[in-house]
Amino acid sequence: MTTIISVHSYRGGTGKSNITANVASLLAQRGHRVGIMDVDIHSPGIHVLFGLDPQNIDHTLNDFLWGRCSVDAAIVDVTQAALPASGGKGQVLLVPSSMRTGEIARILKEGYAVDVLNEGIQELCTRIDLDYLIIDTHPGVNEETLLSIAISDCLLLVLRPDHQDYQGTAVTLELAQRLEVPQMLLVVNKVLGTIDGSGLKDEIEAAYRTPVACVLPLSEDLVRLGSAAVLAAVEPSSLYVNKLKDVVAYLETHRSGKAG
Amino acid sequence: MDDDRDAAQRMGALLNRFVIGKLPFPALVREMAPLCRAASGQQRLQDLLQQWVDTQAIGHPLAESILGAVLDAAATPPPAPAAPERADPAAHVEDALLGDFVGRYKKVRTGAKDEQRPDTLKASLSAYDGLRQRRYARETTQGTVRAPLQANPAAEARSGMVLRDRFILEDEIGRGGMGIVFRAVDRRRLEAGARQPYVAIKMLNLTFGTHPEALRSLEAEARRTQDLADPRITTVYDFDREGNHAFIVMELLEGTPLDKVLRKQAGFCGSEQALRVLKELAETLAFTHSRGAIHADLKPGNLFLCSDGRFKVLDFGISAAVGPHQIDEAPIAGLTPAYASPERVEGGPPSASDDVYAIGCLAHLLMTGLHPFDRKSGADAKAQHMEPPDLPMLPAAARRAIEAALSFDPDTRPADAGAFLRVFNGQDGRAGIAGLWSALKNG
Repeated sequence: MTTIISVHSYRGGTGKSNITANVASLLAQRGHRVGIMDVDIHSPGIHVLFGLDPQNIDHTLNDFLWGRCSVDAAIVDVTQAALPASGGKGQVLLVPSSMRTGEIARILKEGYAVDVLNEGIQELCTRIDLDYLIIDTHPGVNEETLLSIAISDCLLLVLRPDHQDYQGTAVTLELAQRLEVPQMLLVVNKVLGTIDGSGLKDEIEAAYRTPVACVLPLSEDLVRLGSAAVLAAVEPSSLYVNKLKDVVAYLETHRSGKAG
Repeated sequence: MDDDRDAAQRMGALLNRFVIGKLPFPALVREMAPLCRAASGQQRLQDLLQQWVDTQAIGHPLAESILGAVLDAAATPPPAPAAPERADPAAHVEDALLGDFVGRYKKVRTGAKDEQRPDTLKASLSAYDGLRQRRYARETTQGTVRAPLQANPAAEARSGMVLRDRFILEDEIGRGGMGIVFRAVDRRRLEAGARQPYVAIKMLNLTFGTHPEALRSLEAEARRTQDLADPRITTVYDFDREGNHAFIVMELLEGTPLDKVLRKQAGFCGSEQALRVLKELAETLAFTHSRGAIHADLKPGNLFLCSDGRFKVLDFGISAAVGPHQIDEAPIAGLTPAYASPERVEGGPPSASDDVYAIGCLAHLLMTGLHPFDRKSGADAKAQHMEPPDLPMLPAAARRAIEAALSFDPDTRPADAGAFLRVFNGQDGRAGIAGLWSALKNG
């Protein structure tokens, strides 16, 4: 049975895609079969982290949504880019969204049937027998968000230490509570090294009354990498990656809870 | 001492679920409060939280927040059921939803208030509420049991709608005069780990909001029929309504309704299987008529051939109960003219003899694929002095029984299915259907 995780933030630029890719990598390093679906159809980008050239992608999520192909035809195996040179037993499979300007424009103009997206998520889980499916969502509150939250076993809500993020996070948490997501975790990202991470964690947990899975530093390693690769694959011992392992521990707790 | 230990363990388990994100704060407080009604419980919680802070499992501010909220809740008597007050975050949610779904930021920008906001939010979320349960149900049928959650009702029957906080409509599987039938997830079955978490829900077209007596009558009649406990009658689990929409919860059948079989399955008409259906239909009706229960809307769409070979009669007793009330102006579902006897079309009360007339019509369809009166109602066929064609493939007794069943005069029609069956089977001393069975089986 697949554990579905939504990685979401109320605002853009919080580092969702990096968290998604790195969590996927860490799970795969631990032997899991992980799928990633880029539901950020309006501004896709996670494929870049896996070094995918849009010109070399035959089918995307957009093609599935428009009935041009089955969802599994849009899967790209990115395991090689997701795992460190030392390898790992798991696998990472990506369903990218289209980077073609015309196709993004068509989505903006015509929209798409969210029900079809739901079907695609279900099919993906059952057809390729995933342990985890991580959905990289579009920021804000929209139909993709509601769908992703509604269908997920776990919501990873990413926020920065920023007052706009704080307010937006309250909105998304309220939605998730109303939709009774079985597991909700906050991930605080891009925290300056001068800030006491432990104190910040306590403050945020007390304010939102929701657990913080980890506090991630504003990582120079990530900035240097500039989305050219997955940090967990190229620098698996970096502080950012080590902190992110806490999230993986939470997710595996959830999965073992389900199995039991 | 054991009680103390149990309470401490329970508190620890609740805190543990909270810190791994699997128990929202309001639920933590709600479940923790009863354990802290006594001073000893409050001290126990305080000690436990101190331990968790000391081991850095949680921060001090959060521990204080938990302690404060739980003690407040413990000191407050359980409230009477009432509409929950809206917390501030809900206002943000409404603004955000309105921004994306309704006003596209216009109302937020102008600051105009929308009195319908709570409903808008509810309706917007309701379409998503059932998704996870539907997924869990699907997984359950694949062999894994999951815990289900909550959802909301909505105004129109559609996939994803949740009825009575229990039934989640999934796919439309049929529609007819009486309403639309959905395959639906039954949360209670899902929670109980039932292998079949699905039921069939028939959303009735009738508006029962202003006709409560009709709903009561419908329920009473159908329950009476269900009490007959014949395996060939589809089981009705429950009756209920959501707003003005009445619905019936029934067992979900896997198979094909007879109308579809007649249309699509070449070679079915006149086959041994068709004859078996006719015989089972007559036997089922003979049994129910003997106990005073009539169907009143027999037609191909109400007969079902299950994948495992069973035969089922649908909607038993429902049409009979609905008919007399003549609710609303729409043609009442309880009457399908092509299978209705002349007296029934003319407004007479439903009777066992009407069912016999319908059996006669169905016998022709099963044997030849054709309606005996070119799908005209009994009243029209009578007015045009139509006569049913002969069915030479059947023995004389069966032909006699079917011809009598199609009599326009109720006095010369078999009074019930039992009388029909006796003639049909040649139990009046003449060769009947038993001989035909042997002939068919011997090729």
